[in-house]
Amino acid sequence: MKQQIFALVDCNNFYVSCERVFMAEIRQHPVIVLSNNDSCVVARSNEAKALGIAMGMPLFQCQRLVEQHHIAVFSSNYALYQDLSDRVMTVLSRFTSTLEVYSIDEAWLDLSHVPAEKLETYGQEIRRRVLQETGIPVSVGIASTKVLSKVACELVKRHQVFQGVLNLFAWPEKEVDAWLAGIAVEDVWGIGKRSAEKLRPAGIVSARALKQSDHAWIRHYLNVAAQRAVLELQGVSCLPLETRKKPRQGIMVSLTFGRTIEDLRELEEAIATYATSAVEKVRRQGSRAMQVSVFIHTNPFDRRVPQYARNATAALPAASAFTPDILDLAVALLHTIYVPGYAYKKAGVFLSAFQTQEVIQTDLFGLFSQERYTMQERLMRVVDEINETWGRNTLCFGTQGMKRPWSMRQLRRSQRYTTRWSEILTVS
Amino acid sequence: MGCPFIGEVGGGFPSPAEGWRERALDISELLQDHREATFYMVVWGDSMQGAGIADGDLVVVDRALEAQNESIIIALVNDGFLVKRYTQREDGAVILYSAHPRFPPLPIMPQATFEVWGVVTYVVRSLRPGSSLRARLQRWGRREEP
Repeated sequence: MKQQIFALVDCNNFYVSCERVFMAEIRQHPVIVLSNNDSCVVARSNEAKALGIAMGMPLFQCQRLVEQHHIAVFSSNYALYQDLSDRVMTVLSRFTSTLEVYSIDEAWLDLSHVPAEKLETYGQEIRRRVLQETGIPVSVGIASTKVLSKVACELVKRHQVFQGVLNLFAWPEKEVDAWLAGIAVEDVWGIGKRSAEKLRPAGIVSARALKQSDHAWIRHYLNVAAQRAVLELQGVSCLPLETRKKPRQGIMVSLTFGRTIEDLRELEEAIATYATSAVEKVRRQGSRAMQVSVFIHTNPFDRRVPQYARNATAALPAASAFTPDILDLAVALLHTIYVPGYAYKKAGVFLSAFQTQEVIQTDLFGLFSQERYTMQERLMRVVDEINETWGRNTLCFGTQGMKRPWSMRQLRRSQRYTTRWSEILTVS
Repeated sequence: MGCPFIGEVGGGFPSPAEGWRERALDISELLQDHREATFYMVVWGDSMQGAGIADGDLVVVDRALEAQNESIIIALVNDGFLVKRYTQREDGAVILYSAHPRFPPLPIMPQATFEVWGVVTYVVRSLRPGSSLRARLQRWGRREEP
């Protein structure tokens, strides 16, 4: 069998890099990006990391550092990040016939077609093209397995000498082992914190120790995922590229509110908005949902307020991707679980039990009419097309409300330079 | 955007052109030489008038292209975005030119931070009196959700 070569391409501090493409004044500056509702840090520039800002840190905890060092703070601009991610992935797809998009900022490329002596230059070329065309800097880790390519990428980020690309495949095993000794076992892909805890008494604290352990014993001692990690560290590829998306089991849309909500009417608006966006996703994947679930809960971290959490699930008479069907049921479910007097902080809608549109079952009793179905489908297509062209929620359903006072707090979001005509850059 | 085909022929004759339906022309195909590297910007001011770029025009910017001598580029100079004509002298020095008698050339000093952000490939202009594309984009923005 031909030797397989994997390259992991990982965008450096992706959200921060996206902001920097369009804002030159923050390129040398510490930058952080906040989660939904501007509550915690979800991305940091290297300068911000050096100042001691940790991942997941609540904003109020780093407020002093922010002021002291004039750290630039941004709300998440997901429209921008997703668009730039799509562009990066498109550039990457030119370098391989097999691409696995692993997350918004990571992808694996099959580089088995590249001669071994050219891998390093090939990696540099990938980096150069992505940077030039999209403005996003990336790290490239090349190796004979996925786990080793993750290790390579991690080393690239830790050590500037590699200049963005590391080809572990070219290294003698002894040298690889020396580097593995410097990587903590919990930083190996596939080994969680809990597994690492269990490995410590056995004296396995580094990636090298894990590599040198007996994989069969590891399987027995931990689990099959850990066994695979050991084998992959040894250069035995167990994790192939997954290029086809697994069909989703369910679609969840849920958000934490910008403030707490007590009023049923406002909760209805939130649930209706989430339901609408969930059905949109169902339609986009070409299916229909049979089952609708709704949940609401108070803020479990706030010990001062009384706690309440409930969810409810119900099935539709027939699978549907028609927004009003789903909306009605979701709002009805909300009524069954809503109790006044609580400060609700989060709500969500979950759609499941999908059917593809080709295999819709008609029933004997005339509840399902082909004519009605076609009409609904056409109406939804028009709604989707208008919203796609004119921006989300140009056309929306009355239950969603107009002002949405509970919606995401995003006070410091940058412009959506690539997805909104009204927000593109001005040049003089 | 293609026009959504909503109506359906009821009981009449099927169209003889049915099997020949093609996708309608879409101007963006023509303006995007490299789709994933294409960005749009809107021009403020008349410093590039002589090069056919007027106040309120939309420019198409391609990051996949290398700037050549005389290319119109989007330049990043000391943190600001500028649209200028790029020239490089034989000794390597870069000078950016406006295309308007009122604006002097801008030599790039060695200590300045300078970057070619992208190359301007096309310009789109509204010819309707009193309505620039910039004004149209702003009106468009008011219709969108915040």
